[in-house]
Amino acid sequence: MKNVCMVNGSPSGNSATSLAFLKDLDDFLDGTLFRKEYVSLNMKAGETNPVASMDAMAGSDALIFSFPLYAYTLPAPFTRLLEDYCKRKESRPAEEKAARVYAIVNSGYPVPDVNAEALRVMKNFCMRAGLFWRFGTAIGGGLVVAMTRNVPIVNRKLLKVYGLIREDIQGCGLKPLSDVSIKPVIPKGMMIYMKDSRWAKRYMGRRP
Amino acid sequence: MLLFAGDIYIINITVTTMDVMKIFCLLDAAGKSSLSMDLVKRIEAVTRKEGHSLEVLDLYEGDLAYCTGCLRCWSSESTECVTKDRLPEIEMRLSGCGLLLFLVPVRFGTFSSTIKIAVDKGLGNKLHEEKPGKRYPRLFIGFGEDTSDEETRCFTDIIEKHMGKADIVHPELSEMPADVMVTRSLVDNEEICSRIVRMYLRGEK
Repeated sequence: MKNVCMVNGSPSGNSATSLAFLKDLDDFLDGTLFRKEYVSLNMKAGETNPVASMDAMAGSDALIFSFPLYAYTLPAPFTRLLEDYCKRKESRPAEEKAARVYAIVNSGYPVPDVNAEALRVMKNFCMRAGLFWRFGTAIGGGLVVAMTRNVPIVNRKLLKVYGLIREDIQGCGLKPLSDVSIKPVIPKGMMIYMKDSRWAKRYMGRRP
Repeated sequence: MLLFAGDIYIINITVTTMDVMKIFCLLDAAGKSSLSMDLVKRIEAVTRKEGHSLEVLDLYEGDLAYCTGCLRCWSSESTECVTKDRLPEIEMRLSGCGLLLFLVPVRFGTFSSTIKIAVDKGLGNKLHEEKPGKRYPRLFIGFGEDTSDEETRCFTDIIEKHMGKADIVHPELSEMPADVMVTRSLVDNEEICSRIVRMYLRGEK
């Protein structure tokens, strides 16, 4: 039985697109083979993340982070979670496992490459925390990809990523894996047009 | 004249021969190190020498609330953030600023969480709105004695994307130039200060 810790790195909490990807991945991980635990962010600035969250992360065989891109990098509360984890690691160096790490980053921009630095930050975090970086998934047009994630053929790359994560955790592979990029089904030009439309602003303004 | 006002200290020197530029420096209070303190002292000294004014603000954890990504600042007519924190007060202090400096502890190649809140909330963007068409430079200085080469490159690349180098449409950010420098030693601090003098205080290329 592998312990898998799913970290929702979105400040939007339960309404986050990032969480939708984690829940889909959860369906891929058989409950008889994987013990799954969820961690979400502490949204009170100036407070450290709860010990329970740190314990869940520290005790896992695999850490799966899913988060949105904020200003070309990680959201502030998610950065805080990683800072807190590193501080804990420094204070208890013998306790932690070298968990395998997977990251799924989604942004509103249609080009997935815009997420490249966020994945580099995650790799740097793994170096600092003594974790085993496996691979990252860069999703462009996150909201569109999330809305079409159950559409056959359109979702094949997403399903491939979930399968890869499952196999890698189970197989304990050591071979380096390449990052995966996922584009939205809607072309870039139309995404940019949609971004500036009044109806898009109205829709986004109603989000909780 | 040196004024102390809580966590703010202002060095104000009046000169008659040239315009006094207001420089605002935002510093992560929790991430301070001997390296960052040395840099602040050096920046104070060169600012004083060149006849400009410097205001340093220690940003504490909890001063600003996290951005929740509600997008109301983007989707509604008002650009104000709906969360209540010190942001409006800090933005008022920024008014009229000619150079905005962010002193950032580099964490894993990105901003520390405290400074990242200010970045997420677009602190300094209003400077551009004050006088449309006029450019207000922002300078991000990352620091960390043990920052690796890759972390330094990553930090630089993130700021450069802010300047509009990403393959996306983001005109409002590219209109507000931002420069980036990283210090890992006292020698770097010295070099950064001479670049600040040349590029911003004297306007040389």
